[in-house]
Amino acid sequence: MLEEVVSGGGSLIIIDDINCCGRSLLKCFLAAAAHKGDSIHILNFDIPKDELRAGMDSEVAERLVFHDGFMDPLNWNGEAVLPASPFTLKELRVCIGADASPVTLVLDSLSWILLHNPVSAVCHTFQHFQRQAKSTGLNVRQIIGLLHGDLHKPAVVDSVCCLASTVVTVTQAPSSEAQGTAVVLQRRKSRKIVRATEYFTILEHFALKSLGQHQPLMKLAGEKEETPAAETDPAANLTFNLRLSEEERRAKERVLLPYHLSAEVKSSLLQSHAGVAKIYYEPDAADDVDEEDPDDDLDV
Amino acid sequence: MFAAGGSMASSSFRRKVGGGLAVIPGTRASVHNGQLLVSTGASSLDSVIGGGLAVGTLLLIEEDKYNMYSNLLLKYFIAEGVVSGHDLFVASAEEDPSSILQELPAPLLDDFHKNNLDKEEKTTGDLQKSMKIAWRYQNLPKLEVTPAARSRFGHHYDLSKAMSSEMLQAVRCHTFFLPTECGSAICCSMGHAYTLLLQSIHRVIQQEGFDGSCPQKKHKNILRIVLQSLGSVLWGDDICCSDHPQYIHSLTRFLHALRGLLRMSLSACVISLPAHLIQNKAILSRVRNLSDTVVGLESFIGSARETNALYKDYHGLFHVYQCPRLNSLLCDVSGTKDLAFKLQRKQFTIEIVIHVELQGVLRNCLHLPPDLSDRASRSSKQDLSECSKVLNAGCAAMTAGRTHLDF
Amino acid sequence: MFVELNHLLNSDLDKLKQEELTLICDIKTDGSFLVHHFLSFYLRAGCKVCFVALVQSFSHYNIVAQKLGVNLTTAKERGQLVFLEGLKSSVNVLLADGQKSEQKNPLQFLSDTSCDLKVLYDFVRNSLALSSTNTWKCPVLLVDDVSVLLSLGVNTIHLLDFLHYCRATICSQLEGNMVVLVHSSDDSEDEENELLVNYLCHHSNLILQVEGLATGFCKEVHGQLRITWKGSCRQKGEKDVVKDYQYRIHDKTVTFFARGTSAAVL
Repeated sequence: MLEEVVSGGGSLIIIDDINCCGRSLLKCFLAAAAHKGDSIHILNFDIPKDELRAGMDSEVAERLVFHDGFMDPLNWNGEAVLPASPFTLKELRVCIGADASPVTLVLDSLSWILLHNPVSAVCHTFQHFQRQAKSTGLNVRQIIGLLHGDLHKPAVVDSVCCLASTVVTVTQAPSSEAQGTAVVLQRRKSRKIVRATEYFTILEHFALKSLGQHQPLMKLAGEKEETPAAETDPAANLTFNLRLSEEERRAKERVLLPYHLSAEVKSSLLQSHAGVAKIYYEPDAADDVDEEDPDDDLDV
Repeated sequence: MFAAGGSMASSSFRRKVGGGLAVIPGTRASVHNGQLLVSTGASSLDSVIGGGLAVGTLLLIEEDKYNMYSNLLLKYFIAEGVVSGHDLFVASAEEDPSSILQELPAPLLDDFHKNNLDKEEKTTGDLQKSMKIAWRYQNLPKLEVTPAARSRFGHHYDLSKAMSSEMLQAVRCHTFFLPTECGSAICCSMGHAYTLLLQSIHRVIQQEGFDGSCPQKKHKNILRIVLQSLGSVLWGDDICCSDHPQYIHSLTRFLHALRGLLRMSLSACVISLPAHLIQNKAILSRVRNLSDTVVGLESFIGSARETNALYKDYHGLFHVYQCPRLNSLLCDVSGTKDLAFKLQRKQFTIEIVIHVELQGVLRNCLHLPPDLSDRASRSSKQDLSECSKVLNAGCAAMTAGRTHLDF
Repeated sequence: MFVELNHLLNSDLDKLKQEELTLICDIKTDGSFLVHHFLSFYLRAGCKVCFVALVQSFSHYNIVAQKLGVNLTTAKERGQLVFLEGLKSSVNVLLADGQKSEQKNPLQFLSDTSCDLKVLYDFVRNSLALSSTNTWKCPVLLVDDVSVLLSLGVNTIHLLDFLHYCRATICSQLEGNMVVLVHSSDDSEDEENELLVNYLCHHSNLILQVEGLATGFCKEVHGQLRITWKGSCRQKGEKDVVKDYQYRIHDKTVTFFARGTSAAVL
């Protein structure tokens, strides 16, 4: 399902926490959108643009347009690129400018924006930007935001997530093979809510690979893959023989074990013989056999 | 921080004695790291916090519920200052500092020793004239045996007697009583009381030269600062009466600045704080982080433990929450023990509580000592389980973590 | 510096890692021994260090540093160390209270709690600015400790902005390192502090969590240390690597050992 989300549109929020960073997944979405031909506009506040650009192949890298909010967001050094605040529709539209190709807008991170702007303004912009941009001739195909869930109150996180059409919550994967666990919640246009838990891993150049819904085989971290080829035979160099040759096996099977009776003996035993001694018992007067107390030791 | 070795040497070896600072009466160098220490007046408290209170640091006492015992510790500290000849600065918002100074415990000093000596002299008077074995020393002059009270570290006090006013007059006392300083009946605005207090302390330190600003002063002395019930409502602070106080920073700002003043002067400070009234635990942890040594008193009055046979000798539990690492990677206090305090007629002591096999007691009544098993009822078993919880919590007071075994 | 800790962290005096933010997080115990380690390590390595000391005096750090083989006074004199004595500055600001002084105090924001920390940031940036005459290696900022700023009334968002700017200037622009100490607690009563800790955890490269033993005091083991190397997202997604150790503090060094192998057990 993750791959479906990657190719979709609308608005998407990735929620991560301190144990599992969601930025690599974010970069996967960036790469996928770039491969589709989108122009990616990134408002980066959390990390410098070099770090965001690192690891992407050249085709993707040339489609990335950075609006740097990392180096001087509050204009303390006089070199601010982005307007400090507020995060309004107008400011955002001006910031992106004109672009002929479809645009994917990326907010890294939405947490920074929420900490510096009132929640209502952020929600308003997030909800209405796509529609408003369309009216001015800019085709915003997708908005992706990275949100650090543990930096805000749960109510704020929930309020913002209500606005997104897809929410992907990233947590630590139990096994070492998967990069992380993604819980995907999607609001489809058909008014259906789809929820799925998937394990994913990230390949070269931030290609996303979903490992499905079942836990991949648990492998201890650091264990190398065992080559199935050269399997050493433990019974190879012994001073005693653990194997049987064919003759030996036949001879073994032929051996008659004690108490392994032959068919004739068995049938003769099964028949009832005349002349077999039988015991007749007749209890006399002194025998007082009590069925309920055969040992005569109950003290009732 | 002042170490008894004097100025910074290039090598790490420092002489423990000398340099002019150890000569101050009533102080001594710590055996662990050469830190200059003063006595708190109660010898059992001294031993629990690592030998004494280091000069330049702050001891925070979290008050017990009815503020009976923490006031005693403050009085011990002041009395020790009087006997050692240190300067005093006493501040309070509740009672007039001069009345606190009238109620100090009397020291067990020369009288005690003099009485003993008199007794001794009477018994050995006859033998003085002719020594049988050491006759060569017969004509040598006798040495005075009475100890010089001032230069001794730590004294004993008798709580049933009050200190004489002559002793008090020999010492310089600066007082700060908030209603007189503030000028109005109802306390001044939030944080203003602390600002006045800080300015007053700074003025005393500067004028009397405790920060080394008056080089002509020959005899260095220690300033003992005592702040009673800081953080209470009477200081104009609302951290004790409200869950979400309006100015939660006023006390912590004051403590930070006080720490700065203490570090750059020859002074030691004891603060008592009504911690049981502070609802917001975040503030309490911030206050503790800004103090050096933190101890707490938990009295048994009004709790179920008052009638618990296990604690019949004691009046409350004593917790050591924090100890500082001064000029060193190590901490002076080794280990946390289960401590309890008791107030007798003449003295206040802190002791290690020896409790044996509480878990065993709970499971099988036969293991109880005879006097407890007679009165063993449901309620006392609950007390035992409660007190085992408390004592276990006390165990992990200084270094606490999650509740599972590590190895 | 503690040689054993260098082995555990794979840090080398000659090959310094750069552009790193190291977070020291102590939970109900004192993690300042790690501050002493990093201070002496970076001074020994020849870096220019700016130390914002908000809780202890200069002589305290100097005495401990001497035990670890570094003299802070000489480092200050030759310009390698810029030391901000937070205690003195705080006293000056709180006593001045309205009187404007000529010298700009880096902690000037204490007099007005609605003010941001730009003054402190300017101080840090100017002290670590590259000049043509200096021969020091990468610049390093040490802060001990950040939680105190919250106690002094600083707004959490302003504090996060200050840390952001330090990170942007020192780690990214000047390719230096930052080491920050923060207090934390398990029961998360202090929401502002928890926000600060989480923010720093998100943006650190190396997290050192120091905690006391759950079972109480032990003479042989003073606590446990959890080292987390955060996975970078540069090449492809890397996962965090977490390792746990226990430690014991001695007079001049700290020894580290695997859990369960202390002298008390073996």
